[in-house]
Amino acid sequence: MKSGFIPWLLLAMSLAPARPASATEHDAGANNRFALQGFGTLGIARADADDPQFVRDLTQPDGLTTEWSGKIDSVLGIQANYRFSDAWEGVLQAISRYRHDGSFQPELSWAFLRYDPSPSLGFRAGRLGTEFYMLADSRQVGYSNLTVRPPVDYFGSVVFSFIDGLDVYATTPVGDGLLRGKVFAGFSPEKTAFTDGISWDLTGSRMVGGHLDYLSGPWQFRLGHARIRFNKEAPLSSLAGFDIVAMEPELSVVDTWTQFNSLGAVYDDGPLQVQLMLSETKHETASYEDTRAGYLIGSYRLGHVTPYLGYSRSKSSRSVLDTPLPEPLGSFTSQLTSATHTDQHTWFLGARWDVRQNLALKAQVDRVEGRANSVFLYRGDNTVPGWNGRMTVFSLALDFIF
Amino acid sequence: MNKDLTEIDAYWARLVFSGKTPPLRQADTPKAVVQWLTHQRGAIGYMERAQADPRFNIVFSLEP
Repeated sequence: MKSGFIPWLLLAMSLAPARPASATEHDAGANNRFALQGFGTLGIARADADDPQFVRDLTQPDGLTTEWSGKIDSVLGIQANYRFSDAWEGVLQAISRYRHDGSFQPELSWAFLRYDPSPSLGFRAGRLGTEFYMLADSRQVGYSNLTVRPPVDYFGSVVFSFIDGLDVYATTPVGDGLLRGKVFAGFSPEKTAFTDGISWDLTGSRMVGGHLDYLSGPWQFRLGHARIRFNKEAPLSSLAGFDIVAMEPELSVVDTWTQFNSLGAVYDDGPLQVQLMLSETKHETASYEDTRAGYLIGSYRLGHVTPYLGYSRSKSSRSVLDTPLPEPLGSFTSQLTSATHTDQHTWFLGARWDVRQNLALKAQVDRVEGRANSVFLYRGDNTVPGWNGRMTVFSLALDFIF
Repeated sequence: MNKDLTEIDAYWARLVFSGKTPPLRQADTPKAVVQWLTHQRGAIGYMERAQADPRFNIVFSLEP
């Protein structure tokens, strides 16, 4: 081992049963109570078409063109942890990324107090990252992930990043493995892009959910459920130019639930890693089409370089109104709901090169193959003539932590 | 485990930046690591192999 290559580290996660905090405080010293750390990505990407525009997720108001751009994947996050005692901790995290209003204005992404009365039980209250799907609460931390960005077919429609609320998590040994569960509840403090120039205010929307994980040897499984009840109308009427929601109440989202059900499996054994995730999104409102999505990624580490190959898919089913409006409004509402249609798959090939400790360089090519009516996961003009549902995206990313 | 150091770093980055665990504690000197481990039942730490005397169990060894 190279001398000095590994800093003198202690894993803070102690397996010891509850004990007086004073012993730790004495040994750890005051400088160990506070930690300031950060993460970031400098990412550039381009597509082979100017419209529609490929985005990392639908919180972004616009996306890639044929010019190289740093906006969709670049992120900077700063986090402060303060340990009051072995059981109590406070965390603040701010993140700057391309957001709904087209700015990089930093947002408070985590701000919570944590209480871990024992190693197998914990509570957090405050602003918390949402974990609708496995790995979703670290999807902005490029360094902790293999690919340049989370697969857009799967994560692109998740516009919820955090809640103001609380969560409870517990762990218990079962068989040869570990069973872990978490439940959360809270309200959204966020806005998301709806179309370019129009944001949708999600604030006050109720979100609840939870998941069960089973970890055994190289395997990890996840069964998840999350739901949101919208507090404010989506700006469909601003888009239409008249109050379409009043005329067709089935398009209303207020007080309707949207459900996210998911399954995940990860096999991680030495250099080989395989991830499989499946999801189903169901809406009570008719303004969004119900969607199924999934992805599979395989990677194999060869020294400092980890090549990977992935496949993702998203497909939605047509939204049918019980009482359609007479023409021409009937066709108009169909146009609105079919703007949420997706029917595409993506192959992505790339490599992560761990240049040195805490720094990784990634290169990735995505090939999207979809039908011409597969428009949901894009921004920009999705009625552009000649759009055939096919797009190629080239990406480079430098991920770091500090 | 059969993981290299960068994979462990990536794993820790995920835990820390998703608020699942406090950051690693960093000791000022190698001696402080030994002191902390001997006073804290069940604690885990990284140290040079030469320091791993019989009071400690080696659970994982990072190769150069």
